[in-house]
Amino acid sequence: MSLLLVIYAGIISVDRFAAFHMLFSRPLVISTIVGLLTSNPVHLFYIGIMLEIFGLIDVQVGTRITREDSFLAYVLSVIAGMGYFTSVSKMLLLLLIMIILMYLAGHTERWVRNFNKYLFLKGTIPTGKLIFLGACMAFLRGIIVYPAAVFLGIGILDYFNGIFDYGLSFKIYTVFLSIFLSGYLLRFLSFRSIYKYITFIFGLGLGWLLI
Amino acid sequence: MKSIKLFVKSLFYNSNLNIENMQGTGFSWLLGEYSKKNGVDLNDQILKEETSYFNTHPFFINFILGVWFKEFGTMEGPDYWKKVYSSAFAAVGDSVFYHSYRVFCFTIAALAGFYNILLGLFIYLALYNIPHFYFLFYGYDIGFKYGKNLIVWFNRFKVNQWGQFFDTISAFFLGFFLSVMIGVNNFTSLWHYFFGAVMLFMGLSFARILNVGIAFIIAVIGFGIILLLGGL
Amino acid sequence: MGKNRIFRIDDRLIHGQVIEGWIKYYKIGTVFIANDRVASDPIQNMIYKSIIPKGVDLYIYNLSEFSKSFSKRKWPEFLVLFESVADLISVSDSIDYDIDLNVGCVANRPHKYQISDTVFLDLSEIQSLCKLREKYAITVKKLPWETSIEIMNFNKLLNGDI
Repeated sequence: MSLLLVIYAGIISVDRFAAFHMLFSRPLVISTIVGLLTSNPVHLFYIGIMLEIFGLIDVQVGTRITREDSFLAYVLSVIAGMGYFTSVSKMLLLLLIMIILMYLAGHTERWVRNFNKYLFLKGTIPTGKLIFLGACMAFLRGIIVYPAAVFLGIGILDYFNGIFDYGLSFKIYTVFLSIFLSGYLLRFLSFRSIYKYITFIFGLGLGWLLI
Repeated sequence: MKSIKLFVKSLFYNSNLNIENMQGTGFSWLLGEYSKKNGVDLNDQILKEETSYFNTHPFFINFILGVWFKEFGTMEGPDYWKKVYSSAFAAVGDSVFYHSYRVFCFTIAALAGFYNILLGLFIYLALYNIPHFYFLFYGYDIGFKYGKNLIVWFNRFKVNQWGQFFDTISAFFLGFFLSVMIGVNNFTSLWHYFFGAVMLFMGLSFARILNVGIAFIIAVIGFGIILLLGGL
Repeated sequence: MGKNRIFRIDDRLIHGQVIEGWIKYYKIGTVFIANDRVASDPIQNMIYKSIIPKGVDLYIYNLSEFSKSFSKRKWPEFLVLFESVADLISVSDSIDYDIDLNVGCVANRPHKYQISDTVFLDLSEIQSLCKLREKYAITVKKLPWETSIEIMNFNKLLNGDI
């Protein structure tokens, strides 16, 4: 299973920055797949929803490197899937650390792009080979950066082993954090505000009635 | 020219992305691949020149290749239309697929996921990739058929309204999804409703003034404090 | 300084950064393209009008028409797109608005100096921008939320410290 998870880390990085663009790198997909691999799909599904909403509030334009929500989802999902979250406090602590590290992880993509530029400017490498090397670099980045953060996370949780354990209701925290982020997502949707809020409230009401 | 091989290759064309020529390497590479297939002889000099700056949304690359071959040898030349359409499709792709359609797919998938997680996963991937694959598979033929008038084909579907259309549906389903999420988890006491409404309102308010990354950090710290004070 | 009254130099005119970055970020409802080539080409006209989001008005003029039409009424908010520094200079005398001037994307060509990862200018363009700097606030950045390249460095470039 560990080998599968490492290979998946590479695929996520390729899908996100180099090739495919088929959503394998979206947090909800990552959490679900890791959840299925680690036999913990329900818990991870809620983590996936929270991080997916966070990631959706961003658009990839031009040379800009978007927030590395895939990194966040992978690290948290693998650690949660392996059963290291023994309390809500540990989940929140790791979430906090990984949000900060996410910016550093995004920066590694800059190195890959610089390497791609270096290879291109050499002017002697055939285009097909440049494409192949670019995909390989993205894969390599994935299998190094993501699992390294998982090990770091596990190390931090091991350090707090037996202490700093508060709360066991994971779901309520992920659900209400998701609701908070949904406010951002709603604002992010770009059509005339008044109709947007009316439509949203209508959906909210209908869902409430049905449930 | 419907070809599984070229379709798969077009999934990789973005791999040499860099700030020097952006996706120029991939464009030139696919140009070479398509020329082999359709028998157009492109010399090394042309392929070298085509590695220059190029950037578009990855889903639309084959449309532009189709236009390029159609306009190859005309007075204006293919590069004029390559530049125009690459900018235009970058605008459409970023705006529709990355901004709007992805949110729409997520809301539907998340709702399905409450019923069955695997179904949610399947719906997310299928819903998003159907237009993606369609564009890559048929894009070349459509681009070649219409050439520089390709926009006429897109105008049939009112391409500038897609973003707004999906944003409207997403707003509805986002509301629906939040209700369902609260309902299926039985967070249905008055306190839960109140707290949920406060969280949503805070998210909406913070979104005007604060970057979502910083807001997420603040929210996690806030929830941590609530946890230490006794929890939700 | 009008944050939603912007003149932008971008040789790609309308693309993802312009729509997702500038138009949606500042909720701009009026966009102009001031460009001789686009104004005279019906297909390009159609392309840009077809991709601009619903609810945003797009006006396309050649450079001489632009000055006249733009000055006819007071626009509360706008984004005007120019393909080059020279295009902007050619209309700048007739503009009496309080505007932000943004240099977003100018391609690399021989004898140009790299200002940012997307902006390459020659000495005459730098001199022109330095003159405009006395009248307008100038930023060099791709997206509104980015930090601008420090335009004061242009003085160093002009003093031969390149």
